[in-house]
Amino acid sequence: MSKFRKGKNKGEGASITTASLPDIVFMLLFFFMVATKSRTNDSSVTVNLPSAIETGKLDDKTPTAYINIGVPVKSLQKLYGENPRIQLNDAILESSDIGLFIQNKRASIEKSFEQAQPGIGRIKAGQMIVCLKVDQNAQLGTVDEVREELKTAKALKVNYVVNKGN
Amino acid sequence: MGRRKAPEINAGSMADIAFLLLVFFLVTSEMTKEEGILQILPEKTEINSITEPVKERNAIRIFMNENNDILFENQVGLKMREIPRLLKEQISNTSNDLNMPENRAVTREELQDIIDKNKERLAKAGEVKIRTLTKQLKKSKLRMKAFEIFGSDFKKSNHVISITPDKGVKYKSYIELKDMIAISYRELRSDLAKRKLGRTWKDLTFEEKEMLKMVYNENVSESPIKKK
Repeated sequence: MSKFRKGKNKGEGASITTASLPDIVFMLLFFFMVATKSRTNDSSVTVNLPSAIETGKLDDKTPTAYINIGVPVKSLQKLYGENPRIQLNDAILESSDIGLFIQNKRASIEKSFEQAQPGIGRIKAGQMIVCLKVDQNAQLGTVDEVREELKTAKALKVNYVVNKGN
Repeated sequence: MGRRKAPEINAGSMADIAFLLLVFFLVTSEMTKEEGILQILPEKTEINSITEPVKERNAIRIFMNENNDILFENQVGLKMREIPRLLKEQISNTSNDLNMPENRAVTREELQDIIDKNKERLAKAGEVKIRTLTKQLKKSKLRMKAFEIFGSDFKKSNHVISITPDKGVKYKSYIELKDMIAISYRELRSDLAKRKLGRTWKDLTFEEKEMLKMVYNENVSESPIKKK
């Protein structure tokens, strides 16, 4: 026994080389960068999505606009109350602001696609799908207000975002 | 000058840096693709009377109030889960009940007619419309193919599912109702696929799915919500 110990312990412990650790971590990092898409915006309202069985996935290339409806987060409740509100971009706004929001979204989509390939911006802006993220406890009346505004803005493609349930 | 060793950079902290980046990306990204229910809203019309009149027997009416009570045609006290069974019965109407939506078998002649018409239009069409018209022609040909496979099961149904939820209905119940309607159609299509093709829905090709969607065409109308 004592012989065994003498041989190895000369002050330094046997160490595992960590030189390849960065490589492993970088590999993980690149995997996540490729496999995920970055979160679009912070929400100022909390949304508990309802669940449904018969759902579809959106094509990655279709341009989208997001409208959230839900109860404002705790820190904003003093300002906006505790009833479900509409969130456009990062701000809590009224349903009457939707027209302008859609108009701006269309313009920005048109611009970004026009840079990539001239002539395609208009078409892409027309394909825009409005994704509605609505809290499951919100009332349909609020959703309908939004839909009416969308009809007026001629944004007729709507996607109700849900959780895939069973 | 004596030989000096090349200075070594300590790579020990490299892992820490990489971990930091990794954590950053983990936090700011979302993994799952979103699932959703797509709907094309009707265009806004100034006058509501433009809508086509629907025969009473063809309309399948579903009402819903804020207490989540469902009125299906004239039945009350239904549970959400019972809707698919009732809807399937109404849409397929195998017994030819006079109070249920009418349907009739599709004929080869009328399908051929549509194909011919589409061909004619495509031949005359200008540059701009060529794409949409080619799509239409393809669709009508696919419909013919569906007829050849499903034969007398390919029926033209005049049903319209009309859903009228109250303003106070919870969004959750509304989505559930939409889901139930989608499930009804899915089950109708899946049943037919099992009968004629011997496969379930998830084993079908994209084309077969499209054909089945033609056989059982979705027709849902959402009446505008009445303001109180």
